[in-house]
Amino acid sequence: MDKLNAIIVIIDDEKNIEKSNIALFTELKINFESVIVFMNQQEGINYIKNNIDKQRMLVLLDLGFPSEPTNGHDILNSIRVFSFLVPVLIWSGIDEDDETFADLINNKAFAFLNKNASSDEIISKLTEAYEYADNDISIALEDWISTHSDEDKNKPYILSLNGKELTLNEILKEIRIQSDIGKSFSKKLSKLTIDLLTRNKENLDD
Amino acid sequence: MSDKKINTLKFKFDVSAYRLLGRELITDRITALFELVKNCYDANAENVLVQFEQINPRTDKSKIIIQDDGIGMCFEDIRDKWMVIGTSSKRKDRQTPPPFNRKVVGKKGVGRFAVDKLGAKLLLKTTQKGSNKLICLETDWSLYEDLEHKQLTLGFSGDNQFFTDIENNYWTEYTEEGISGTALQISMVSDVWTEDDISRSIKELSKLISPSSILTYPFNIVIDAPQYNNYKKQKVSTKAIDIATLKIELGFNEKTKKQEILAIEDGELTKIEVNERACGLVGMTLYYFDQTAKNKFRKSFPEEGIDGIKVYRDGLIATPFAEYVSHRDQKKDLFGLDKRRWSGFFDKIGTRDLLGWIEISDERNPDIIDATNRQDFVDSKGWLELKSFTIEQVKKIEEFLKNKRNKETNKSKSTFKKAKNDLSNIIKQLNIVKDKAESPDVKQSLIAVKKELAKTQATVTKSLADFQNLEKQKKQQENLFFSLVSLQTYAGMLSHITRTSIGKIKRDAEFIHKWMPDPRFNDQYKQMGGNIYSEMNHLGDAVDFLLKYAKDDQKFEEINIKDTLERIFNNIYHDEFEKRGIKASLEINKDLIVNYNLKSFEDIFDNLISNSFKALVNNTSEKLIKCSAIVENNKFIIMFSDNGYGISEDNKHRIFDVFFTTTSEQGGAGLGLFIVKSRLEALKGTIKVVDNEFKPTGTTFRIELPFKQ
Repeated sequence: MDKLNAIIVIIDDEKNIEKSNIALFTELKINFESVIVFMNQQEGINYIKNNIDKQRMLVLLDLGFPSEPTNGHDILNSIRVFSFLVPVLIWSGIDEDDETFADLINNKAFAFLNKNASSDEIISKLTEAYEYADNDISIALEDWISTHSDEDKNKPYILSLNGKELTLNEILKEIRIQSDIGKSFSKKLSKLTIDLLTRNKENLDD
Repeated sequence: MSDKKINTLKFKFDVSAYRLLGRELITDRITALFELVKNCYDANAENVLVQFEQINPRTDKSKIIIQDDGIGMCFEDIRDKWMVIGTSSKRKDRQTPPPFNRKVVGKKGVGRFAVDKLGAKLLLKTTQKGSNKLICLETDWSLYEDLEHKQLTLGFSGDNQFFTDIENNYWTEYTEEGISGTALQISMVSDVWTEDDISRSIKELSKLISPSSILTYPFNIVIDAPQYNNYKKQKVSTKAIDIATLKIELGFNEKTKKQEILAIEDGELTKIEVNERACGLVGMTLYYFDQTAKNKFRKSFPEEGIDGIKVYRDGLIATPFAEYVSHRDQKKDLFGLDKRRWSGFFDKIGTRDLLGWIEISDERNPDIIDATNRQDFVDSKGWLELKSFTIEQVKKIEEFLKNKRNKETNKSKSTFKKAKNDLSNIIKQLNIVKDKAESPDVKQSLIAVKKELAKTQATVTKSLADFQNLEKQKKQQENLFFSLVSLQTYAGMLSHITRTSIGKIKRDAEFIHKWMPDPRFNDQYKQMGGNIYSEMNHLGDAVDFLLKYAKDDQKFEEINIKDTLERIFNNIYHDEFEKRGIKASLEINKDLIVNYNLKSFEDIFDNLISNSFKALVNNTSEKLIKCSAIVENNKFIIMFSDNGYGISEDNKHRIFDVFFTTTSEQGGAGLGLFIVKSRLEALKGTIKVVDNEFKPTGTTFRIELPFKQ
């Protein structure tokens, strides 16, 4: 089976997690491009922030950080400040009460995995998250852009509302960081697509 | 470039707006009545008469009239205030004119639309103070309704009239000078008002004014429903509560910013002054009813219920606002009194044992804000603090009652013992008299008396034994409960450890099952074997730990304090200290042996350590926990310290209270230190907070245990 083109980012304070979870890590590496672990919360958040426009990531986030003042909820909050697109899967050994669980839902956690989940369960949820993200407009755009030459990618392509010229690569970045321009572009693109489809200018079979 | 010609558009109200403002905004008719009576209060009225005329069954003659003797309105008031939606006059003048200078309660300027909930037609008659003109205004909501229906009909082609286009008739009549006030005559009444509805209205209206402010702001409401014998000119009044078992009043000093709170001294309730809390200064009146008092209350006021604590802002009820959920369990428990966990275990007081009110004001308590639906407050810091303030006071009452019961128990126990001794003395005396008695008849009688006395003595002895047994059972139940509570805390921790371990073992096994004997992973298989072994060891430890709770709770044994502390610090918590980066030190060279239940003893330190963990979470410098022991004046003294965030001066007096916690976000239930204190008391020991050993912040507990128990 081909590896899926995504980096698994794990934020967990367990020491030597890779060594004590050798089975899971081996499976992750069989199924995904690479795995990277952060014991330090801020380093993990920074990594995601700095790479959000460069590569596809799936985040596996522990909730309990007994030696830190902040926990997984806060980390998820911090991630959601700059992106709602990156799929975050919660992985925890404690049961959440309704209130804190609601907080995870509000912050669009993709799934809740128990610490005693099997590798198959974890891989299958991560794959689901990958496929879900695959339907995202940024991914479609990315695929489309990849068929163009480097020269085309950096050519000013689209004129945004305020008259600013953006290259395809720049538009992709705006969508991934969910800036106002990015959101507005996605919305308009969806509207236009629906419009084209309903007026039979395009059809879904091609 | 183009020449821009700017045109304007205005917002208009559709005719249906009358519904949005009236019947759909006001949830029920009792709230509607409440709103209208509240308007009378804002109009400085002293008396309000609410008349229900022929309201069962509903006919053309059914009427509700609300009449007050307030300041009334002049024509301009009607035109510029009453007829203006959302009028802001009440927001501008937050006080009614002298002599009452009441705090105005209405703010939104829509209360008058409550009329629509009660009936379709309103005749308003009002006279301003000092005038003899009676201004009459007629509003017929059914016109609005008809028009709405017409406009909704398909093919409607008439003028599209708006809410604000409809004309309302007014005229002037003349009356005696000097009688001011406003009367709202509502006809085309929407609902039948049964006797039960009237009774509920009275019940709700009686909450409108706090009993204590009646003296400052006289405000009488009379309900007159002549169709019902019980409700002919019935005065709505807050009952003076003479029946309560206990009455508590807490005040404050605005100058020194000191708040009175309850405290317990020598088993008696007293008041002490503390610094102003984050909710601002509040007045509090609480009545506690025991079972006898409750029965009496029910007999005297069958209409009323003992229903918890209400909040009054500037003398008028803030919440629960006109709430009349008839089923008691659905009533809002604003302060969470009944929701407190482990209800029933500590002879808790709930909303059905308490009646009271808290007085707040716009000025003193600006952070306590009504939620828009008036059923609660906005979750501000001030409101949360007021909640915990209230619960703390209730807990003090609970503690006082518990002390009192214990005292009574001890008193009956000693009376029993005395009776037993008295009886055996009497029997001894009787024997002497019997031996000396010469008459065989007297002897015979004395023998009979002696027999009877012996029977009585046996009964008393048995009763005393039963009594002692019962007491022991109660103690056992309490111990069991404590075990359950600490079990709950540790169960959370343990489930985390076990789930993580099980997950690892499971995934290792899964991997081996799936890939073996694929030679690519030979190194991994070997590592997995090692991992499984070490995870199994972890699980074994966790199970041993849990097994402590399965053991007989009543087992008392000789506990060597030194050994036990060494085991706790160097074994049980060793890994946890390391994981959290805490430097823990134990300095103990003296020893003391106590006879107690081992688990209960370990609980003391489990709880202290767990508290330190929470206090140390944010420490950026070195994290320290230190436990040392010395012998002083025949006492074994243990000092337990950490350099965490410490305990604020304001909280020092209440940290040992049950359910007091400052760490609820980290899962603190406020039981830890309560359990510590109770356990130590069982050992005849004490615990208190002393000056912190570590600087600048930290906590030091001093535990004293007597050598002779």
